[in-house]
Amino acid sequence: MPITPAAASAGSVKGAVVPIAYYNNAGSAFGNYTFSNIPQTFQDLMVVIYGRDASTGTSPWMSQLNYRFNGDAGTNYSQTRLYGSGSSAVSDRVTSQTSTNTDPLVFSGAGANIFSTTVTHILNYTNASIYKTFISRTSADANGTGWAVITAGLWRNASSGITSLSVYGGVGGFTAGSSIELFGIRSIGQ
Amino acid sequence: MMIPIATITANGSTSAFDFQNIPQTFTHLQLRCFVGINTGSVFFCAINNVYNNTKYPWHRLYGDGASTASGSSTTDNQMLISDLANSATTFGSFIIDILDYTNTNKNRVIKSIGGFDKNGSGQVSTSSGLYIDTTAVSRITLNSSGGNVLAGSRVDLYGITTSSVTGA
Repeated sequence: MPITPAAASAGSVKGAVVPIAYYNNAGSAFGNYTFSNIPQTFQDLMVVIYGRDASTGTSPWMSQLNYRFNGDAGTNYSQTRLYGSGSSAVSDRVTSQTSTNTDPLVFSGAGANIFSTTVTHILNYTNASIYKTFISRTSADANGTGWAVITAGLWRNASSGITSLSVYGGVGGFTAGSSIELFGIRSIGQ
Repeated sequence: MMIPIATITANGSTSAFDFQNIPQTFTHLQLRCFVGINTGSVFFCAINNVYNNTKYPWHRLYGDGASTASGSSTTDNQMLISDLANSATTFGSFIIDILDYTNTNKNRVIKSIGGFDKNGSGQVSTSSGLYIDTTAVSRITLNSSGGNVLAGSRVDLYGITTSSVTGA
């Protein structure tokens, strides 16, 4: 069920990093989640995810985390990724996808209480005349396997700013204890 | 707390983002860059208007979607941040951090992360550089080697503090 974030008042919060919304389903497991009606009053967005795939999975325990913007399910997403697995460094790419295939999300089979963290920056998200670029950094370690990942991604939409963000939790959704936070980064005068 | 200090937006005749007279009242600095250019270009960072090829050693790790690579230099006269997108429709995003920028007992470390994707090509990278000078940072200039960047490109400068000081 989409949660509409409360509008952030520029005068009510000091500093450039303003919390917009937070979701953890009151500590229970949850599937996909959508931030709707994202305020268009900031310069950038930052998404912070602390998550774990509810499916057991198999070694090396790497599920995936996906984003979709403004409900766009067209083949308008792509990314270039760089990651290290502890034994090798890899760069790969996907093109023309129906969502981002951005970052690993650790499977629950990796072990008890093991989560991965992802921070995604979307600069200039309100710009309605330029494709949207995002940068993600993910950390995941499962005590024998793991990944350090950075991703540059693209949403090929040059007709609107980002007004909603959907987060998809891998194969089985997010386990209890997972959380998703959305922040606005404001610039001068915002 | 992160406080916005200044913003520079390109108008089509901008090849450098030059932040001068940076307040000395914060602990760290962050630059958030959204930059596009329609020709091959590299994005560089210079401190205090110093262009000296003995002061900016750097290293970086990057991937282009097909292979990984690492680069370095000890002879550039400014620090390499990243390649730029060379596209009329795709801008690159970069976040640059300079910690402890007013401390006159330390040389400066500059770190960055960022990249771009063009649905079939692209680059993602992380870079680190050393500015071999203990002078406090009062000016930062981000330069495009390929000349003027696209209108709409912008760089936002932020100060990060643990005190209650307010910015601009």
